[in-house]
Amino acid sequence: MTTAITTLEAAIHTWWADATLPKAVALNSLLGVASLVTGDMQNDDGTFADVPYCTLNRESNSQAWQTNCGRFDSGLLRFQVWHSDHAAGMAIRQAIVNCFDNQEYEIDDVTIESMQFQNDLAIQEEDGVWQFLIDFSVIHKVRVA
Amino acid sequence: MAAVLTWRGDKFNQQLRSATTVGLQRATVFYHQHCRMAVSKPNSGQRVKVRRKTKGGNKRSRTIYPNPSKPGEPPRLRTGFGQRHILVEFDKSVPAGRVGIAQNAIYMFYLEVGTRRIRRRPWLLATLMKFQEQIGRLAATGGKGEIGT
Repeated sequence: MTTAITTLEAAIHTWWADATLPKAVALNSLLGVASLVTGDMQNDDGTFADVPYCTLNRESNSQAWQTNCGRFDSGLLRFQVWHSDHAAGMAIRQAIVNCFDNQEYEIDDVTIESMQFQNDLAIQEEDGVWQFLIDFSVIHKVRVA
Repeated sequence: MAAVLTWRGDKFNQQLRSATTVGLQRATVFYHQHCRMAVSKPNSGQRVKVRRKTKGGNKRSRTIYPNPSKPGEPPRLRTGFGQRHILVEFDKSVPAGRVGIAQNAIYMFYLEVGTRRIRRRPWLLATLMKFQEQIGRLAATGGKGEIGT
C-alpha cells in the first residue's frame, strides 16, 4: 500500500527520482536518490556513511500567506553533498541547481510553487572530502485533508 | 499669479541615504550581538583527577567539559575563542553590513554547517531566522530620525 506524499522533504525525494523529468534523470544518474537523506547520514554505530551522499535539511520555515487555496509556507532548503572528488562533486552540485532552480513541482498533497537558488559554497574537510552546500528558498503548499 | 517651486529632492535623497545607512548599521550590530549571545551558553570545564604518564611526568588532573551542545543546538562556550572571533563589518559607502567569523576560528563555520563527523550546530543562520522580523524592522525604521533634520 503506497502512502501519499505529505511533506516537502518527501516531495523533493520523489522529484529527484522522477524518471519523466530529464533534469532529474541527469541528477539521478550522477547521484542516485538512495544516496539522498533527509537529516544526516549516520550509521547505527555512530559512524558516517561512505561518500558520496547528499543530505537535505529545512533550515527555516514560516507562513508566507493564507489564501482561499490554502496556506503557503516559505523556507530555506539546504542540500549538502559530500564527495571525495571535487570535479564530480561540482557536477552533482550543478545538476542539483539545474534540476531545482526556478522550477515547480506537484505530487499528491504537496505543491512546490517555486524553488530559487540562493547560495552555495564548497569546503574541503580535514580528511580531504569535499562538502558542497547549496541553499534554495522554497514556497510550498501542503493540502490539509 | 506666480508659483514658486522649491526643489528639496537632493537634500531628501541625502537624508534618505543617511537613514538607510543608520538603520542597516543598527540591524547589523543587533544581529552581531545576538550571534554572540547565541553561543554564550557555558560548557564550563571541570578538573578531574587522573593518573597517567606523559613526557612531562605524571599528570594528576585534566579538564573535561561535561555539558557539550547537542546536535541542532548552538555550540556552547568553553574558552570563548569562537565567540570572540564572531566579527561584524559595515561599509557605509554601499551601505552593507555583514557578520561572520575570523579565519582562525573556521571551526565555528564547520559547526554551523556540520561535517561528516560533526553534526550541525547551527548558530549563524538560526539566529538570523529567529530575529528576522526585528532585524528587518531595524533596517527599515532604525534611521527614521535622520529624515526631516
